[in-house]
Amino acid sequence: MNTILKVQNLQKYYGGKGNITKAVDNISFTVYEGEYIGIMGASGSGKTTLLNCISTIDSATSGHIIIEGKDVTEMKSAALSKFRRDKLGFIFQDFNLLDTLTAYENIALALTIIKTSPKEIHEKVQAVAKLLNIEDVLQKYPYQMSGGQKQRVASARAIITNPAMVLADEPTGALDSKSAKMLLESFNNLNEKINATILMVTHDAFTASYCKRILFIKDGKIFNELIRGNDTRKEFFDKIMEVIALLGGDLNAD
Amino acid sequence: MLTKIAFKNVGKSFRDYAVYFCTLVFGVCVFYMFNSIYAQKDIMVVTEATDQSMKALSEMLNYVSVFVSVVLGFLIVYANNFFIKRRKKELGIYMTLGMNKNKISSILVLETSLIAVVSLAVGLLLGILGSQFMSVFTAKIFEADMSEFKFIFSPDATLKSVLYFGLIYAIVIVFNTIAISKFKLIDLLYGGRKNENFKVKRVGVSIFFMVLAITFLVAAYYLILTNGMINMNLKFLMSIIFGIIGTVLFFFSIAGILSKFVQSNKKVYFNNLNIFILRQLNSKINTNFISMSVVCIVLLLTIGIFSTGYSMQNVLSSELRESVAYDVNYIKWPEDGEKVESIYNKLPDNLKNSKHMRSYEEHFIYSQEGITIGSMGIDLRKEEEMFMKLTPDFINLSDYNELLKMNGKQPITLNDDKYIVNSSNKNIDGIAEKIVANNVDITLNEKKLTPIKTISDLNTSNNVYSLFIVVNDKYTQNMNASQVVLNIMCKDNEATNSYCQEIKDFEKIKEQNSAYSYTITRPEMYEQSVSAKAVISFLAIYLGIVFMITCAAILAIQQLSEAADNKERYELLRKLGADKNMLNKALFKQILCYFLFPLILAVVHSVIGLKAANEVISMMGQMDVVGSMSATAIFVVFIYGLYFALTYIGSKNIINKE
Repeated sequence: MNTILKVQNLQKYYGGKGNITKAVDNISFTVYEGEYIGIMGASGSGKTTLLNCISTIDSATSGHIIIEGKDVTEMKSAALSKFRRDKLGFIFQDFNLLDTLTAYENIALALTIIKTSPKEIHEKVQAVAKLLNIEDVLQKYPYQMSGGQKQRVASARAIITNPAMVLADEPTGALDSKSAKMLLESFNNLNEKINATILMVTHDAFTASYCKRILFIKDGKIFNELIRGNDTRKEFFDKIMEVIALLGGDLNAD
Repeated sequence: MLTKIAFKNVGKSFRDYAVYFCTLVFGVCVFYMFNSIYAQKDIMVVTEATDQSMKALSEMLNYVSVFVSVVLGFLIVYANNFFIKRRKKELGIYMTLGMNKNKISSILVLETSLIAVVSLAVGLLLGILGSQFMSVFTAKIFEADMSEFKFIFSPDATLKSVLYFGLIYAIVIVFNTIAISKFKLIDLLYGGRKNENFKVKRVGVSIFFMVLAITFLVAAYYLILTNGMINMNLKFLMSIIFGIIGTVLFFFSIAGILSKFVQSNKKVYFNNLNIFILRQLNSKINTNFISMSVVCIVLLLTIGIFSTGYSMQNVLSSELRESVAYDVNYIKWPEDGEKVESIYNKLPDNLKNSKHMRSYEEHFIYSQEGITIGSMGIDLRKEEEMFMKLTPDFINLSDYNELLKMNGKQPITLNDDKYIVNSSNKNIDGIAEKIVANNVDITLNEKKLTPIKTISDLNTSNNVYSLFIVVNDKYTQNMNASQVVLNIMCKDNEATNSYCQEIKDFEKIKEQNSAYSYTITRPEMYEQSVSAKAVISFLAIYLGIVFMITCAAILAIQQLSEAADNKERYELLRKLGADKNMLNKALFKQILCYFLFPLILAVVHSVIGLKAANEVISMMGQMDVVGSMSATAIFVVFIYGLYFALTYIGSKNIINKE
C-alpha cells in the first residue's frame, strides 16, 4: 500500500514567552492509500489544529507532514496553494457551498479552479453526481436542498478533482441523524468504490464508527488508536464508547 | 478613552473607507473651486463688464451650490449609512462591554468630526491649489488677460464650504445617533448573518424583457433622431420616456441574458472563477437594477452637459467680435401709424456729431406682402422649415451701395429685372443658395425679377435674422418700410466705448425717445456672449463633476458592500484552492463589469443624443467636437477610473483581510 500521508513529530505551539500552549504536541502517524481514518477528541484537544496543519491552512511549529512524498512544511505559500487545490479535497461542517451557484456549478467550480479542460467538466460532474446520488438536485440552488443533499454536493466537490486525500471536518455536525447516516454511507461508498482516502475529524462516536481506524487525541497527543478490523459497526461503536469513557466523558460537551 | 477609540478607528479603517473619504475631499474641493471664481479675478485684467458678468456668474453658482450641496449631502448620508452598517458588530461589542448608547454615539460623533475636519482641511487645501490652475481656465473663458501671478485665496468660499459641509456632517451625526438609538444588541452582534433572497428569474422572462427593452430603446432613438432636440414636443417627451423605460428594462434583464449567453459558451463558462463571477454579478445587478439605471441616465446627462460646457469655452468670442459688423447699431421699429423717419435726424447733437464717430450709414428695410420664403416654391430641409413664414427683407440698391461703401467695398449696379440675394446668417445660407439655383422669380410692380448668380454676404446690421433681397430703388417706393437701421463706425475701440457711454448717458436722461427703439453695440454683444458662455460652461462643468462623483461613488459603495457581504464566499474559494491572483482577478472582472455596464449604455445613449443635438450645436456656432469629446472622455475616465481603482483596492483589502 502506498503511503499518502506521513506525520512526523508534529508540533504546533501557540503563544509567546512563558505562555505556551501546545495545541499539537509531538504527534506522528501514517495514512495509507484507500484508508478511512477518523480523528476523535474533545474540544481543545488539538484535532482541528492538526487538521489545519495537514490541510496546509496553518503552518506547523516543528515536525514534518509528508503528503504523497512531498513535505508540505517546507513549501512556499504559492506552492502550498497549488498543492492544496491539486492534492486535497475539503468537506466542512457547514457545507460551505456558494449559495449563489447551483449544485452543478458548485461542483464544476472545483474543476475550473484547477483549470480542467472545459470539455471534460460536464462528464465528470455527471459521473460524481451519480456516485453520490445527487443527480436530481444538480440544477437546484443550496437553499432548495436539504442539509444531507448539501453535504453530498460538498462531498462531490471535494472528490471530483481526484485528490490524494479528502479532509472532512465534522461533516455530520450540522446534519440530522438520518442525513448523517446517508452521508456516511456515501463516504463508505467513495472509500470502497473509488478507493478514496478519507481523513475525518469528529467528536461524534456514531460518525466515527464508520471509519476503519480511529486516532484519539487528548491535550495535543495521541491518546489511543482503534482499528476496526473485522468488527461490525455496532461492535466498533461500543469500543469507541469505551475509549471515550477512558478519555473522561462525553466528547460532545463542547 | 473615547477619543482614543475614535482616533484608532479612523486610522484603522482609513484604507477601507478611502472611497468615502475621497468623495468628501472631492466634494469640498469642487465646492470651494467653483465658489471662489469671483476671487480669481484678482489675477486678471478685468473690464467693468467682465466684472459684472463674473459677479452674475458667481451669484448663479451660489444658487447651484445649494443644489449641489443637497446632492452631495444625500450621497454622504448614503455612504455613511453603509459604513455604519459595516460596523454593526464592532458597535455590538462595545454594547456588550457595557458601554451605553450615548457613549457609542459620542464615539461616532467624534469619529465623524475627525473625518469632517480632516476631509475639510484636505479638500480645502486641494481646492485652493486647484483654483490656482482653474483661474487660467476662468481667464480663458472670460477672455481676460492674466495680469500677474498671485496666490488666490477666497475667504468667502472657504467659509461657505466649511458652513455647508459642516451642516452636512451635522446631519450625518444626527442620522448616526438616530440609527444607534434604534439598534438592538442582537441585531448588532448577529448583523452579519442575514439570509439573502435570491430571485431567480427564468431565462424566458429575461429574454422577453430584453426584447422589450431594445424595442423601447430603438423607438426612443428613432424618435429623437427624427425629431431632433429643437422641438420640445410630444415626440421629444416620448423619446425621453421610452429611453428611461428601455434603460430600466435593459438592466432588469441584462443579468439573465448575460448568464444564458456565457453558459452557452463552455470555454468562457468553465474558465477559472467565471461561474462565480457570473452568479455574483447576476444577483447584484438583479437587486440593484434601478440604481444602475439611474446611474446610467445620470452618466448620460453628465456626458451631455460636460461636453457642451467644455465646448462652449472653445467658441471664442473673438470670432463673434469679428462677426459683429458695426460698432453701434440703432434700430427703429415704427409703431402703428407712426411715420417712418430717419433715426439720424432725430438723434441729439452729441450723438449725431460725436467726435468718436468715423462714419455712419442709414437704410430702410421694406417688406412686400405676399412674399415669404414658403411662397418661393423651393424645397426646404427639415431644419429650415421654421423659416417658412419668414418674409424676406427688401433693401434698395442705393442704401445697399452705401453699406458696401461703409464696408470698404465697391458699389454695384443692378439690371431692372434682377435682384441680389444677400444672406449673412448661416442658417439661411442654404435657402439663399436654393433661391439662386432654382432661379426663383419674384414679381414686383408687375415685373418679374430673377436673382443674379452670386450671393452676397454683407452684414446689413448687427442683428441679421432674415434673408435680404436687394432691388433697384424704384421697386421699394411702393413698399412699407418696416424698420430703420442706422449703422455707426467709430474711430477705434476706445472711441466705441466712449460713444456707448454717451448713449447710456443719453438714455439715462431720456428714458423714452422717439428716435430709435433700441441699440445693439459691439461691446454689449461681446459681453453678452462672454457672459452666456461663462455661465453655460461653468454650470455644465460644475454639475458634470458633481454628478460624475455621485454616480461613481454610488457604484463604488455598492461594490464595497458587495465585497464585504461576500468576504465569506471569497474565503471559501480560497479554501477550495483558488489562489490570491485568481481571486483578485475575479474581483477585478466583477467590479469592472459593474462599472462598465452603465457607462457603455450611457455612451451609446449619448452618441445618439449628440447626433440628435447636432443641429442645436451647429446653431450655436462651430464647436470643436473632437476636442470636447476627448476632454469629456478624459474627464470620465479620470473620475470613473479613480473610483474604480479605489473600489478595487478597497474590496481587495476587505476580502483579503484575515
